[in-house]
Amino acid sequence: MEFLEHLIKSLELFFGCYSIFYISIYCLLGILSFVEIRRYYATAKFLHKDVLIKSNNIVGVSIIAPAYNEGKTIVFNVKSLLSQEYPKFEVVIINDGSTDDTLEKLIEEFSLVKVDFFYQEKVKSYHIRGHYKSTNPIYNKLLVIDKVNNKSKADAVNAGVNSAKNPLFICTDVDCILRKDTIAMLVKPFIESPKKVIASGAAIRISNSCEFKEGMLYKSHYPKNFFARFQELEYIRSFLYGRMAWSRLNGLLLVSGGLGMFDKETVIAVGGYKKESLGEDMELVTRMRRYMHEKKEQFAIIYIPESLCWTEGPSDRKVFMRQRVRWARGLIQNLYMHRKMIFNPKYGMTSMVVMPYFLLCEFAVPILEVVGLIFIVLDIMFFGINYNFLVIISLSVYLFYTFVTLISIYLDQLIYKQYSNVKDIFILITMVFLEPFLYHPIITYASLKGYFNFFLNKEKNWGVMTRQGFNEIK
Amino acid sequence: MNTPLLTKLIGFLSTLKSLAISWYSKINFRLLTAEEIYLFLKFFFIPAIVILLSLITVVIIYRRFRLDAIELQKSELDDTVNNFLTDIIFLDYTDEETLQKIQHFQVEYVKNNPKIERFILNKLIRIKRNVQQLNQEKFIFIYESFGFRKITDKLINSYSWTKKSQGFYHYQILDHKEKQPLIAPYLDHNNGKIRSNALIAMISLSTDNFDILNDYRHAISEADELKILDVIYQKETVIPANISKWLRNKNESIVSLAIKLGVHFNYDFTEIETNHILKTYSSAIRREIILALRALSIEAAVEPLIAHYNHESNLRNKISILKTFQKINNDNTKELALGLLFTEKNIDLKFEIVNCIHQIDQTFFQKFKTNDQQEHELINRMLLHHSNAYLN
Repeated sequence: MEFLEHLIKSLELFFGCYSIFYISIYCLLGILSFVEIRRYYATAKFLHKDVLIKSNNIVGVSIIAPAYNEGKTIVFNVKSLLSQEYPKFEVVIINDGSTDDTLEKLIEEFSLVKVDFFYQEKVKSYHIRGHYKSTNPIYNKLLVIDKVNNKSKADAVNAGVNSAKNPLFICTDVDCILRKDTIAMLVKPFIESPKKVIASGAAIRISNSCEFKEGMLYKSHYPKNFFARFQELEYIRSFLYGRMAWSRLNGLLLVSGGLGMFDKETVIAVGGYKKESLGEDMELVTRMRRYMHEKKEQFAIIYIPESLCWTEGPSDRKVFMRQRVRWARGLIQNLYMHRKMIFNPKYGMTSMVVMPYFLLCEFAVPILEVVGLIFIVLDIMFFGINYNFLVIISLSVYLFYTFVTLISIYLDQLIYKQYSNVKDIFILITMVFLEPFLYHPIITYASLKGYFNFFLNKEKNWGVMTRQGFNEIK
Repeated sequence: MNTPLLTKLIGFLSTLKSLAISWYSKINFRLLTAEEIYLFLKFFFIPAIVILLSLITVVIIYRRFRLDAIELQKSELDDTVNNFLTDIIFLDYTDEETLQKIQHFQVEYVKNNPKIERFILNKLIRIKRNVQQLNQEKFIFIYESFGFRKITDKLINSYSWTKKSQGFYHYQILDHKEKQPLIAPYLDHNNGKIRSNALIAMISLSTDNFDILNDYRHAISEADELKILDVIYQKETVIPANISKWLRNKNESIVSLAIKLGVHFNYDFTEIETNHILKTYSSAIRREIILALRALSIEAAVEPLIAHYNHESNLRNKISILKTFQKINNDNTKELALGLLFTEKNIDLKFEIVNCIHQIDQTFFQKFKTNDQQEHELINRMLLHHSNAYLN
């Protein structure tokens, strides 16, 4: 009993110190994010996107989008991708062994024919059945790759990287709706930065309740679905609060798989996406950072605070849980795969700051939350507890959590009038206060399940995302 | 199970714990008692954060309502300002009438409100940027009559580089040539952003064949290069007389700019110039000249490029040269390509070599034979790609 009491006391001390550390980190990230957003908007107008759109001397970009059983929305989505405003780009769609009519619909709508494409496997990818090009000159920017499914998005994107002709590529999901100027906005950091930019990214939003017209966002609404609502909130916090701050520090370890622009040469040099990884986007960026550190070359990964991409969030519990378990497993897998980098001064910022942050603040939090709960129960059972203290501590944690989210919402609203309806703002703010009770426990559970699956080496599974399609306005 | 990770994690946590204990015991430092923490949280942290939360919530909601109201006001003002500006810019009023109208408009709508003044100024700048062939003198007169010079000069005198650059931009768009002496001193400013924005404004305002570039010694970034080219293309001038001089400049940024301008103005790059650039400058500049020679299909460049090919160390440049040979070539090019066909191991280069030969002699591969079956298949696959109409 004495041991237990000593253990609980030590843990109290640990949690106290950890809380101060955690709060300090988040306060610092908040300040950095604000500074970076301000800097971005102060300088944004000095290289207007129109200059890029009009230029003949601009770098080419390939949009790579894998599709698996997307027959319902594929034509709409490809047309949306083709309507980008940029002088030099191509759209590479990878039909990743769909069992529905995805390929047939593409062939019919875009008048595709099989072509003898000289395919080189620069990065590892599974068997390619063929390449297709349109006979209609209107769609000459479209290239479709038909490949055998290898149960991995990474594998499909690699096939796209091998077939892309431009030095930069955007990796996105075919169900994502991109703003018309997405390429121009993402290419800007590559042109503006004095350092070699190896990747850039932008904010992603949930499209579930948005209205679309001719493949473009027409009216933005806050989602109505339970999971989509909180996921939108989470995205705002993650992109505006977290990634902008890390961008300021040049410490981004994650460029979202939903929307990111990459330097193809660096991606090929590191071997492309890894099929074995469940968080392939984070794993690729980690390897790219590692490669640049080893080459001793100055580099940058830049995020911009613009919402450029709308994606359909999971609308049912099963799909949502599967996605979150995969993300959590991807995180621990990535930290494990690159464990030798952690605290190795050779990898600079990445190993000394970014990876320890991911280990101590992203990976450890769900575990510490559960450990904390267990010890509260033990405390109640064996030693009695100061309920007043418990209430005050819990309230403080709750309020700080909502404070961080609300600051992110404020930044979001400061940047752009996101929602067409004022009612959406009220719902959004209400959700900020409900999130810690309704959503956070689910996320914690999913994270722990992901870690558990990783330790048990359970079979990796991407699962199938069910699509509702988009609300198209005629 | 990944036990090594678990063991490492436990080890790491216990090290952390022992470190914390030893640190705590070594220093004479008193941690806050539970009661003090309780009081701090209850009477400071929680009230402070509740106030902040309420404040941010109110600000978010207020801002949204305010934004909606401003948008409404703006759209109303937008119509009025548009009508007024269209009227005074495009109708033939005398200077006196224009002045009277502006004064009347200022009394009735502007009412010394700086936000409305900025709104009108931005509109005026936008009109000037988007509408070609406006009466320059009249436009400057309107700008001056509104008293906007004060705003622009204030921006230029500001300490912030963004405001300074905005001021330069106003004069650049207005094509206010008399303001060059005001901007010129900033060409050597310590702040690179001020310098580059001043340079763009000066190029836009210059009347002397962009002579300003002759002695410009600072590096020009890729972004600035794009902006400068945009400004020059928009000016619709004749070919700058200094291109040949710029091609020999010590500043690589000027050389790069000159090559791109050469492409735009159909400049006839001489063999000597091509040789000089290929031998003197970095791989990025070498690439620029190769792309320029391809874009302009300059036959005189074939020999210098053939001579340069084996000395080129950059893979992308080699590919560019081979692509250029697909457009401009002679018998020597074919000879070079044939020599490379069997020796070159790099697939990307081989791919371009095959296309090069195919473009020069469409019948060559019909009679082509090799004993190496693998090589034959590879070349055949490349050829199929190059001869597919939809892929090229």
